[in-house]
Amino acid sequence: MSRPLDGIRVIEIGLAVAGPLAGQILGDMGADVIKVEAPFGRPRRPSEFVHSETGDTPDPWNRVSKFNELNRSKRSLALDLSHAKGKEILLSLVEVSDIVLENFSSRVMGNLGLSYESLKARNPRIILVSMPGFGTDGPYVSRVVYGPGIDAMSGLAHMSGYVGGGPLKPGNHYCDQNAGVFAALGAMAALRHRRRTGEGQQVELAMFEGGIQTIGEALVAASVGVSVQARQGNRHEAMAPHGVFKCEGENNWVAIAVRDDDEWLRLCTVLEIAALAADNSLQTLQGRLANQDHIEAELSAWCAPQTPKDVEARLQAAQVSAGAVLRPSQMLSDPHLTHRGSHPYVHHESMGKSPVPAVAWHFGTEPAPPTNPAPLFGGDNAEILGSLLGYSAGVIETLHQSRTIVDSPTSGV
Amino acid sequence: MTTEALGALAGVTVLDVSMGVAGPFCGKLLASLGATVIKVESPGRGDSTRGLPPFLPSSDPLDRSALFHHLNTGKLGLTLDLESEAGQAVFRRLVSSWAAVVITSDSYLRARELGLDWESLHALKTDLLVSAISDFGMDGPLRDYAGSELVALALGGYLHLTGDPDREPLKPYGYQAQYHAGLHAATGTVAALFRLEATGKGEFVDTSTVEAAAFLCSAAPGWYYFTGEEPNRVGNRLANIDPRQFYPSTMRPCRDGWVHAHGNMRDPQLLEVLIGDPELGREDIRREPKGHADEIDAIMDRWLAGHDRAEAVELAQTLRVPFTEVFSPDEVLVDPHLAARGAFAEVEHPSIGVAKFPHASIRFSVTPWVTTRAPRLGEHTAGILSDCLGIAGDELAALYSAGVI
Repeated sequence: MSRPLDGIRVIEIGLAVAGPLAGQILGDMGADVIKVEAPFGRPRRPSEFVHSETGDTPDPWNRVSKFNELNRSKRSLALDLSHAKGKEILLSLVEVSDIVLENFSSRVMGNLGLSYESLKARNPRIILVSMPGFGTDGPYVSRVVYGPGIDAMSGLAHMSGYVGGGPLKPGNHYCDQNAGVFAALGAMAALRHRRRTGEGQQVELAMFEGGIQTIGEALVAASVGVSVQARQGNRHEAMAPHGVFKCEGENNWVAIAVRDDDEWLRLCTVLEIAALAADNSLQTLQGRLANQDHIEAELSAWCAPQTPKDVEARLQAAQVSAGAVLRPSQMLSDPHLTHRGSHPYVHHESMGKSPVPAVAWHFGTEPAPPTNPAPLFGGDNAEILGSLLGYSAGVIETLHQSRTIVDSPTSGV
Repeated sequence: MTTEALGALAGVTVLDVSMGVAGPFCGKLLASLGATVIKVESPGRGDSTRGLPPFLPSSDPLDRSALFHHLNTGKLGLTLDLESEAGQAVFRRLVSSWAAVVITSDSYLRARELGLDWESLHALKTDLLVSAISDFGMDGPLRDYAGSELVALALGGYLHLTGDPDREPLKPYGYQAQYHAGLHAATGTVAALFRLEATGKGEFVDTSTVEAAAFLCSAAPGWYYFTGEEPNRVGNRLANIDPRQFYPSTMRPCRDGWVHAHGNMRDPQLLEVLIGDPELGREDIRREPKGHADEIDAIMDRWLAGHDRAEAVELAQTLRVPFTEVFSPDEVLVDPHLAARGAFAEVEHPSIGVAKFPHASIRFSVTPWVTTRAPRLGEHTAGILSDCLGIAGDELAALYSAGVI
C-alpha cells in the first residue's frame, strides 16, 4: 500500500523530544528518515534504559524506551559532524534528500557549516526545517530551553491549576509534542509548495510560537482588556457540573461534564437524587454554576462507592458525557484505544515487543500502515553509505577506523 | 486575496462544516497555510463556539466569543441549513463543483444523518478528501459515546498525568486535547492531500480527540509496560519514577512571581554554580537528583526568595541554566521577544474592533502564514453561492426566504 510520503527522504538531526517526534511522523507517513546521531550517542543514564530480563545489558543505549518510542520508522547513521569527512558525508546525503530537519539551538547548524545556504548550494530544492525554542532572532535567541520551560512561558501553566493554588504545568511535555506535530505539518506544507513550484525553502518552528496558539482565546481576550480567570481547577465557565470525582479504589477517578440543560435532566434521571432533580433552579446553566459546590458534593457521594467504569457506563447509557480516568496501565488494555490503534506494538531488535504511541489520525480507506521499530544506534551506517552514497566496503572501513562513523557510542552523557 | 495565493496550500479548496474546537482549529491551520476555507454554519445560531467564553465587547452578540474568533481566522462565512432538503442540495453542489476537502466534526451517527459520512461524500465525488474529527473516531467500542474535552482527557489517559499526586486529576486550561486533535487532523489532512494530488484518489482521514489525549501521554504507557511501575501525576515535575532521574524540572515561586526551574542536562553542575549552595553538590544528591527533589526544591526556594523573576532567569541563562519565566497571558502579549518577532497579528473586525491574534506558528521563508479575521455569520453567503455555483437573483432570494441560507 502506498503511503503519502513514499519516495521522500528526510535527514533528521533531532534531539530530545520535539525534533525526533517530527521526524517520526514523517517516517510514519512513508518517508525514508535517516536519523543522524552524534557519536556520543543516546541518553543512557542508568535510570533511562530498561534492563534486559537476564540483567545482561551490553547495549543500554539501544534500550532507552523513551528514545525508541520517538524514533521508530527511521534508519540510524551515527556520524561525527565535527569531522570534515563527516560533514562531507552529510552534504552528500543532502544531495539525495528532500528535507533536513533539526532542533538544535539557533546557532549550531551555522557553526557546523550547515547553514541553509550551504545546504542549498548542494541541493537547490532542499527544505530545511529548524525548530529552535525561540526561533532564529529576537531578544531570547541565545536562551537555552527545554519543552517544559515553554509550557511555562506560553501562559498555559499560569492558566492551569487548582483553585487557590499556584500555576501548574500539564503532564509530561505538552509544548514539545505540540511543536513536533507542528513541524511535521510545516514540512509537508513545504513539500506541497515545492511540488507545485519546484521551490524549496526554510521552515522555522519556534516552540514558543507553537505554544501560544493553543491558548489563543485567552490571548485574544487579553488583547482587548478582557482577563480570563486563571486556575479554575476542573470547572468550566459554560458547563456545570464539570469535574473529576473520586470512586471506589485507590487513585480511581471519573470525569463528568454536563454540556447543556437537557444533559442535566438526563443526569438527574440516572442519579435519582431528589434534592437535585426537584430543584428547578438547577435546570439552567446559571443556576447550576451558582450551586456547583452543592452539586459536586452530591455527585461525589454518588460516585464514591462505584468504580469509574460503572459510573461511566451508567451515565453514558443516558448520553451523559462521562469517562473513567485511565491510568497508563489501563490505556494499553483499553478496548477502544486498542481498537483505534493508539499504542501499536512493534518488535524492537534489542527490547522485543514494545508499545509505541501512534498519531491520532488514520487513513480510513486502507489498513494501518506498517509501523517499524526504532533503529539500533548506527545500525544502518553501512547500508546508507554503501547503497545510498555508493561508498565501497574499504572506504566505509576507513571511516569506521577514523571514528567518523561509529557502531557504539563513545562515552558521554 | 493576493497574499493567500502565495501560501503553501494555495489553490486548495476546503469546505469546513465542523463546529467546536478541534475541527475548526484544523480548518484554521489550513487557512493559515493558504487554503481557501469556507466555514459552513447553520443559519441563526451558527457554530456553538459563538456562544462560548471568553466574551469580548462586541456590537453583535454572535461575534463576542474570543474562542470563535481565534479558531476561525482566515475563513469565509457561509450559512446553510443542512437539515433541509434545499440546503443539502446546495451543499452537494458545492462539494461536487468546488471542494477538494471537507472537514467534519460530527459523531459517526450524526454524520450519517446529515450525509456527511465518508460513504455518502465519496459517492458524491470520488476524488474528495474527507477529514473527520470527532471525540472518539468513526469506529471502536466507544464510537457513540457522549464526548467532551474533559472526558476525552480522561479516557485518553492525559488527565491522570496532570495535577498533584495527592489530589484529583486536573484538566489543563482550555481545550488542549481538542487543539491537539485539530493539529493532528491538519497534519494528516496535508499528508493525505499530498498523496491525493499525486494519485487523484479520494482519501478519508479519521482523527479522534481521545487519541490526541493518549498521544500526549508519550512515554507513560511504555514506562509501565517495561517496568511494571505505574506513572502518576507529579505536579510540575516530569512523570518519571526512578530516583536517579534528572532533576530539577519544575516551577517554583520567586520574589515576585514564578519561574520554571530546569537544570542543564549536559552539565547538571551549572545549577550548583548558579545557586551557590554547597548542599546541592552533595554526592547523594548528584547520584539521585530526582530522589532528592523535595530537598533540591527547598534549596532553590531559598535562593529564589531573594531574587526577582527577571533577575533569576537572567542569572541562570547567563550560565546556560535553562530557567524561564511563568508568564500570564497579559505578559505573553507584551513579551519583548514575541513583539520583536511579530508573533501577534493585529486584526480588525467590524464587531469587536482591533484585537491581537497569535500569528505564524510556522514561519516559511517563501510562503506566508495568513491571519485575517474570522467571518461574521453568513457574511460571504451571497458571493460564494454566486461565484462557486452561479446561484443569484430569484434562486438566491428563494433560499434566503426559506431560511436555508
